[in-house]
Amino acid sequence: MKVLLREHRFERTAVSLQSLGQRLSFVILLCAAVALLIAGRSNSDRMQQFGAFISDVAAPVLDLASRPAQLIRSSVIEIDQFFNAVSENHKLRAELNRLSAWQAAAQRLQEENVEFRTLLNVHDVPAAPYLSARVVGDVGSPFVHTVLVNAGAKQGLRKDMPVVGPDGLIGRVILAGNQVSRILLLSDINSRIPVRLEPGGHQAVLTGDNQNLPILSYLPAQIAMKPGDRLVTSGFGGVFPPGIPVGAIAAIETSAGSQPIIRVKTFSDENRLEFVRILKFSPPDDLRSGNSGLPEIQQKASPGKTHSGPGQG
Amino acid sequence: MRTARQYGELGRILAGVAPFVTGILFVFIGAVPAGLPEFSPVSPLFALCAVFFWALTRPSLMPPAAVFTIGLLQDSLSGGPIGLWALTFLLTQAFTVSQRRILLGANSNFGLMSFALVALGAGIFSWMAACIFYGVLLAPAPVLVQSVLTALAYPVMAWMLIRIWRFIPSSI
Repeated sequence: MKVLLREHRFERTAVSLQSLGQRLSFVILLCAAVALLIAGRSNSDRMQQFGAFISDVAAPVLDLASRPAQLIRSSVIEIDQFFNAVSENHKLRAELNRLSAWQAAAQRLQEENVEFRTLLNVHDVPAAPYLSARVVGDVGSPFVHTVLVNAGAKQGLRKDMPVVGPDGLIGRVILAGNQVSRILLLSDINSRIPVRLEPGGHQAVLTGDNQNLPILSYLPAQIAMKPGDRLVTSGFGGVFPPGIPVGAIAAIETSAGSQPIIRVKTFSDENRLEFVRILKFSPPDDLRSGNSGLPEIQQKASPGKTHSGPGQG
Repeated sequence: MRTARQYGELGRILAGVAPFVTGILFVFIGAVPAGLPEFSPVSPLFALCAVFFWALTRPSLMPPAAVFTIGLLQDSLSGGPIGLWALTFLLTQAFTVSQRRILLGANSNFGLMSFALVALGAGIFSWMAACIFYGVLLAPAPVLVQSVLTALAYPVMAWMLIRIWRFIPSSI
C-alpha cells in the first residue's frame, strides 16, 4: 500500500514538473518568437537568409510533394481541355483570322524597326540568358505573395533577377538559397515595378497591395487611359529589361475628392504558375534607362537548363 | 485506442512523435502549389488544425517546442515575417490547452464551431501582428477568408488526425 502511495506521489510530482517545464518553455519560446519578429524588422536580410536555409533543407520534400499535385493539376487541365475542345477550336479559329492580319502588319513593322535602328545606330540591351525552374512551394499567405522555385545560387540565380512566364512578367527573385529561390510576385505588398503605359509611353510604377489586381501608381495627372491599355516594363532602375509585357488596365476606380485607383490585371496568372523563367539579366550601366527592344517570352524551355534568351530586350 | 504494451520501443517513439510529424506534414501539404484560381493567396492553414487537435487531445505530445518548430517552418516556407506563425501557433496552443476541459466536454458540433472561433482569433491576431510588423494597414479580407477556409478544412484534417490518435497509446 505504501509503495503504491509513493508511486502515486512520484507520478504526481513528475506530472507537475512536466507541466511546469512546459509552461516555462512556453514563456521562453513566446519571447523567442517575439524576438525573431523584432530581429526581422530591424535586420530583414539576416532573417530571410534563415528562412532560405530552412527552405533549402525542406527543398527535397517540397519537390517530392509538389509532383503528385502537378500531375493532378495537369490531368485536370487536360480533362478540361478535352471537354472544351470544340468551343476552344472555334475561339482559336476566330483568333487566327484576327491575328493573320496582325502578323502581316507586325512583319512590316519589324522590318522597318530593324532598318531605323540600323540607321540610328541604336545600342540595344544585350539578350539575357535565362534559366527555367519549377514552382515547388506556394504557401498561400494573406500577408505575402511569393512562391518557391527549384533553382538557386548553385544554378547561378541571385537576388533581383526578373522572372517571366509564358504570358509576361511574374516578379523577381528576392532570395536565392542554394537549391531554392523565393520569387516575389507582382501582387505582393513589397512589389514595385517601373512600367510604361502603351500607348503614350507614360512612366508609372506597378504597386502590389496583396490583392489580386495591383495598383498603377505615380502616373502623371490628366493622362488619357482606358481599361485594356497595356503595360510593359520601362527598364527604369535597371532591375528589369525594358519591354516585358506586364498587364493591362482592368478598372479605374474613381471616388470624389481623391485620386482614381487604377487596377491592373497582370498577364501572368499567379495562381497557375508551374514553370517560370528567370532572366539572368544585368544591364550595362549606360542602359539603366530607356525603352528599346521587345522580349520574346513565348518560347518554351526545358526545365533546369540555361538557354540564351533570343531577343531578351 | 491501443495500449503501450502492444508496441515495441520503436513503436512507442513513433507514436510519441506522430503529433509533431503530422504538424510538419500539414505545413508541407499547405505549401503544395494548388494551381486553383483565386485559391493560393488564401489557402487553408492546415498546420493550425494539427496544433489545435493535438492541444485538445494529447497536449503532452505537442509541447510548445514542437509548436514553435512547426510555426517556424510555416514562417520560412511562406516567406513572411519569421516568428509570426510561431507566435500565433504558440498562443493558439496555450489557449486551447487552457480551455481543454470545456472543449472536450462539448459535442462535436461545438468542437467544430470552437475551432472556427480559434481559427478566426488566430487569423485576427496574425493580421494585427503583420500590420505592426509591416507598419501598414493590411487588407483584412484575405485573413478572414483564410480563417473560414481553415475552419472548413478542419473536419477533413481532424478525420485524418483521429485515425492517427487511435494508434497512440494513452500511457505515452
